[in-house]
Amino acid sequence: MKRVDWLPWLLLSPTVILLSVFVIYPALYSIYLSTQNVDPFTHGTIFVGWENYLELAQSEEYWKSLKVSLLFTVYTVVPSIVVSLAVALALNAKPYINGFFRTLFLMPVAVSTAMAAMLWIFLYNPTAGFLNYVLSTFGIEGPNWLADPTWSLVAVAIATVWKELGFNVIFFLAGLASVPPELNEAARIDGANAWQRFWRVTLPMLSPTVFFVGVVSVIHSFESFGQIHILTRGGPAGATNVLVYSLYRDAFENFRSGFASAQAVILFAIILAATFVQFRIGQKRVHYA
Amino acid sequence: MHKILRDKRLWITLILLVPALIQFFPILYMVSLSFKQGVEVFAFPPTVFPNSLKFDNYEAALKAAPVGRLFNSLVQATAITLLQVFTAILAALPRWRARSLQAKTVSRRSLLP
Repeated sequence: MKRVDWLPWLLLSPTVILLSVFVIYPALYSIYLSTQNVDPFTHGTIFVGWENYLELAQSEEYWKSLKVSLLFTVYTVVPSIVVSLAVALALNAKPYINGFFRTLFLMPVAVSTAMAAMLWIFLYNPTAGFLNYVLSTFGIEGPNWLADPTWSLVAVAIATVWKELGFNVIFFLAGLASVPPELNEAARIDGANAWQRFWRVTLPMLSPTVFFVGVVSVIHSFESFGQIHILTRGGPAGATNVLVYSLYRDAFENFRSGFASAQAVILFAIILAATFVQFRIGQKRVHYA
Repeated sequence: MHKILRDKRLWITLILLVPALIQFFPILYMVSLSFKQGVEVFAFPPTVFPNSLKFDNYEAALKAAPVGRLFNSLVQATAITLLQVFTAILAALPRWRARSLQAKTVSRRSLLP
């Protein structure tokens, strides 16, 4: 008879308890709430089954929210990964004043979301903002960033990328540090140029990091709330009304907890599906040394 | 001169300066805004440096949010950090232990990074 090894369970228990109380229980409760209609005053509930989900499926506004969320993910994740990878590669090539650069790139991460958003409100100001001033020196008349439905989502995405770039740079630098220099050295001796070395050696070796950063960034972008709440409040005309913001409005402005819970469940399903797809792609493309 | 032009590190430094300054500029602007008075904030053209170095805004901010509230943030930040590090380390231990047990019995290769 084998002795039960209880130590791992003991070590895992703080995490399991905290997650159960603050994540799993509320998550299960919102699945339950999504099948109910909740009275905003008495908090009494009535079972309505699929009704909340049906209403969402028929809501044009909600489909638009889904589109806005997907666009926001593309606008933030792709530029953020490309730029931070390029910056990390440059930092890894040992520029002068390396520490100074690393500090500058990490600074926006240390600024709180609320402060960063307030700052961008000033930068985006159509008449006195610095961004449009810089554009005007090039003879370009900048748009009214946050109030223009065609530009507001881009504006929020720029502010988000600015804030989160440094974080990805750190991950990529850590990934690059674990790429053995002998591999690049050997490729160089075999006559591979810098371009070939990047695509054939560095990037495959870095693929676990790219994969991780990709998964985390997609989840993060679907859950973005703070900067949207401060910069645009979902406006103008719903142009930045991402899924999370739509959920927030229904829960805390329209006091429809059941309806909002249904949105939370759908958002969870979308993020789960997106992560699953990434893992499927990752299995084929990611190379673990 | 030719030697300087062929210095790869120098070129990388110069190229990196562009994104680094773009990343840094909003923070510089935030600090500058904090010293600006009244309409100066919305002056056109906008200025990078304030007209004068007055700490009025800081005084007002400390009055609006006294040091006591900074203490709240401190307590919260400390508690979150400690709890996260504590639970995360404990949760990672069984995995590490399982791997080192495996390494002993299966092969020594998995001990290599």
